Amino acid sequence: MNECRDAYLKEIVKAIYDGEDVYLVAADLAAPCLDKLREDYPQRYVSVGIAEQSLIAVASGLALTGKKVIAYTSNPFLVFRAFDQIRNCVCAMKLPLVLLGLGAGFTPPDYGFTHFILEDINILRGSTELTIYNVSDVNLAGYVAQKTLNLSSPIYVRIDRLVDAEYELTTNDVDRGFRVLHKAVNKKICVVSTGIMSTECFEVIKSRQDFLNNVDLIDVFSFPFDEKALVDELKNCYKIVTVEEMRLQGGLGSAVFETLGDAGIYIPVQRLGVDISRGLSSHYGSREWHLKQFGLDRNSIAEKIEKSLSDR
Amino acid sequence: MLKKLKELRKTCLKMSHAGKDGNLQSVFSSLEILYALYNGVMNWSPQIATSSERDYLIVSKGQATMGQYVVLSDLGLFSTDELMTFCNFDSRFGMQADRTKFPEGGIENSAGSLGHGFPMAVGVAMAHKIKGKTNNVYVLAGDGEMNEGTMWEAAIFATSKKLSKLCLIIDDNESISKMLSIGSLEKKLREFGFAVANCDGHNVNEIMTNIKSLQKEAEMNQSPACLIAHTVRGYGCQTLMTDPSWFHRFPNDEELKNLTKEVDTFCENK
Repeated sequence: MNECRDAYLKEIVKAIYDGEDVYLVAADLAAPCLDKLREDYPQRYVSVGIAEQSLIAVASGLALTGKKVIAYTSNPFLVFRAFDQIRNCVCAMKLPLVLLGLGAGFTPPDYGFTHFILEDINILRGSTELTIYNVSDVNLAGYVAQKTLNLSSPIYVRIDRLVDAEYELTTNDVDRGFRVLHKAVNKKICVVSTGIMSTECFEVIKSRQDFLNNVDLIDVFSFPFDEKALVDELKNCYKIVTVEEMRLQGGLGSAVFETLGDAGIYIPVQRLGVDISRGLSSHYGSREWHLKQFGLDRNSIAEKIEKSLSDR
Repeated sequence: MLKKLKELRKTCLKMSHAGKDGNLQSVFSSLEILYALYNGVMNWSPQIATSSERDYLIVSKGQATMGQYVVLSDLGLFSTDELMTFCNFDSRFGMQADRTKFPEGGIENSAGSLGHGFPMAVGVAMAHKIKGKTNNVYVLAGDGEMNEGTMWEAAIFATSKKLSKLCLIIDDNESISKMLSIGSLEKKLREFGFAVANCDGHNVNEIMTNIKSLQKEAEMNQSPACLIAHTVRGYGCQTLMTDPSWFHRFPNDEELKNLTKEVDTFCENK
């Protein structure tokens, strides 16, 4: 399986072998595709130990000298443990640095709440100078790797190892921060999703002809995104359904609401995501189990779309 | 005290008066350290302020920022007139430095959140070590800042990576003992593997001499260095040394006159 972590890191490894001055600063995380690099170029992989705050600050110091630096560790600790460092050492100083977080949503599911990654984008959306990439396919992972080599400001790259989809990615998509994964003949409903939920929604739409005929699908992979362009895509549908494996507060659905509201466009929006008003699950279980609890499994998503279509 | 240091203190008082803000006690505590670094220790001048050959100073103790401004201005990087815009609307000179406002160099890092500067400096030193470069990297930290866990994460990393070009200078004005005393900094840092020395943090010559000998020891041991500079909050002005309210306060017109006079008449043997 070609997954997004390898798609990203293999590009970086290749760039280092090609002579790019790139450094991975890591806190207790590696990857099999880095093994040979670590033997051939040991100085390009700097381990700070299990110390996420140190990770961000040390990586910032390396970036201050002009190096291309990737701060790499497991989510959620990258963001939550070191948020003040991200805010002050990276964003406030506008350092061109990559925050590479491995993990998204209800993963790893059997570790419980401490390891869930449900509000990282919600928190980071408010960060100045930072662009977020919620990597939703391997082509996007490859694009972000190329971008890493020519950064002018910091980026947060959120990689879900279970994402192995491949979608077309155009220059226009990259400029806008989203892409249309499916365009229906009759544009009645628009589903807007992010991360692995884009794959899930695509599978749901492909499974039924009435969905294929009536439902658009947009994958928002970057925050911020081109708000005007998104409004242009959404303004002619009569209902929007947003789908995210994130907390609802401040997440994708909120961003869509804000964008429409600022543009004076009033279209009903139904947000599907992790609704914390129901409390966080204290159960251990599979990712699929958790998604089902919050109505984010394929059947639940299909039901919501079907109801939206029949409500018309 | 060197006449120059008195002049710099008086400039600080004027800035604080003009900008209606200031951490004068912290600034006066650090001023000799900053002066010594830029005037005899570091390979640094306004002409090489953005050159890759320069030595770096990362100010981890953000409250000392005003002191860095005046020392750099004294070396010609900024005009005195511009300094007097301190804390005015749209000034480049705030209470805590903003690196992005100084394309001409001098201010290497934005400061304000304690415990960040030292690990950042460790990253700078690591970058130089990887490239086989010999730039020295200095960090100015406060003793109170040593309560932050990140300072010790950085210390572990620095010794593990044998960052012998890294020199941590702790402005030890005994803040930590008023909050959460952690015992002997010297003993702890030695245990962490640092070359450590103590000195009078208000004696410029002593600071310079100690840093130079520490650097030799660090090179020999392949370890980072730490100078614990013993200082007094508000040093150089009797009122600032004795009245704690001056930690965060600015002088009014009358106080400016009185404090300036105190600086002028300050006698080190008092």
